[in-house]
Amino acid sequence: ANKMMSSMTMAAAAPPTQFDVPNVSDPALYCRSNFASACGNSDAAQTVKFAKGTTTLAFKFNGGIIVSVDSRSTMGAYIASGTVQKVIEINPFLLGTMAGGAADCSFWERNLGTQCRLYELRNGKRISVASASKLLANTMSSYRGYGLSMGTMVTGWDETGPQLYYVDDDGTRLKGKYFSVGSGSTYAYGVLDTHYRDDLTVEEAIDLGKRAIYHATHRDAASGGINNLYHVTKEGWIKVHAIDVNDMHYQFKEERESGMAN
Amino acid sequence: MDSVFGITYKGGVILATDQTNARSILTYQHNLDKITNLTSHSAMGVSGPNCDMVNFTEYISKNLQLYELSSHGTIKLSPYAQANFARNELAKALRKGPFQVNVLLGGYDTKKDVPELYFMDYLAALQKIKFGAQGYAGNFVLSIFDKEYREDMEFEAALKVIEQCIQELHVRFLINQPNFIIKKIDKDGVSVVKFGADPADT
Repeated sequence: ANKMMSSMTMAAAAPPTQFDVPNVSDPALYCRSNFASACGNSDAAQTVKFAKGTTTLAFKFNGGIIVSVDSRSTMGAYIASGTVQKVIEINPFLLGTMAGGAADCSFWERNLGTQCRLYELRNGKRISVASASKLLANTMSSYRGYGLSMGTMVTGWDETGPQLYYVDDDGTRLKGKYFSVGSGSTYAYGVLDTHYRDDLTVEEAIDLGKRAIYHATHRDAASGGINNLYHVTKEGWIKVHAIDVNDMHYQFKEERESGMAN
Repeated sequence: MDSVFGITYKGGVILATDQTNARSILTYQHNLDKITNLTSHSAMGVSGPNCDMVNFTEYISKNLQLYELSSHGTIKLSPYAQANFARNELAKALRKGPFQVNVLLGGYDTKKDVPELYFMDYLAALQKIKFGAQGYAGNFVLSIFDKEYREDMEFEAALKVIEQCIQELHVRFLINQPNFIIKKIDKDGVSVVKFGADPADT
């Protein structure tokens, strides 16, 4: 039975040894100069700018993991979409977030989903979050210098408990308790760092995730739209809510005013 | 921006690195362990991008462990052999896809009963040293090492020098590196002396 398994093993999910590259003399240079990275204003001179600008965050706490994202997609100063799904449902137990190039994120996380499914079929059990994030980080590593733009958090609940990994386009892979990624991440960190605790209740955690995104969308022009929030538990993830951040603005304003009046 | 520095003393080596991982203006993590254990009596303090750091250290440490396993535990590679193996891998990768890592490899040679410290940079240069540093940290700490180092100093004295170096970085280095992890390698193996933030707290 083992022999049969090994002869049926294919390298289908491994990064290909022949990459599709632009038909120019120096593909890496071409990618770097024409598909600028998500950081800063390096694509100011380009006619076609990548869709980017976002706030995503995820944090672990005693009741599981909260993943909270915005839904705005910008191309330069133009808001291309207000309804982007920035949480990618890799499988019922694994979530990935999207920041950077939308195409890169959704393609490579979908590809990760394929690799995870193949792992399940070959090994008869679900893949761990550590392995899944390592597969993605290795893929990013092999495409270094080719202009991919992706800052993602891979999160889920496996045999070792809730896990959260940050993976990005230059092959960085970090394990942590909470991360925020995107142009609005500094604003989200402000709220997260101040109020995060291990022992938040589920309600408090959802509120924290919601508020951190709201505050980031308030200050960052490239973030906005709808706050999509997910909660990951031992049984898998569930989508908690999808609330327009504008509605949150007026709701919080009312709360503050009624609080001051009291 | 990583700070990596180390010093040999009578009976061992102390390695210290900062624990920060940052990109642009954001600190992603402040409890990273940048000193990878290689074998039972050696470790490598590494600076460079996280991707190269992880890929290089995992590659070297797993290959070293494989070598020892294949010999059924009869051959234990000396720090000299391990350093040369690592340097050779850096040299092979140099003209292909270089590992942009600068390394301080510290080890205790259990046969000769001496501690050894090796400086290795991303261009595959290798040099045995008594104390040293990688990165901007060198600008601040090498003078402290030059002044305070004594041949065959005791562990407590060497640790004091390391802590003076950390204090100097806190005072004068522009980049905020609040946490440092310090490990020692001696005849009993690799152990953590202290850390600013627990690397396992994730």
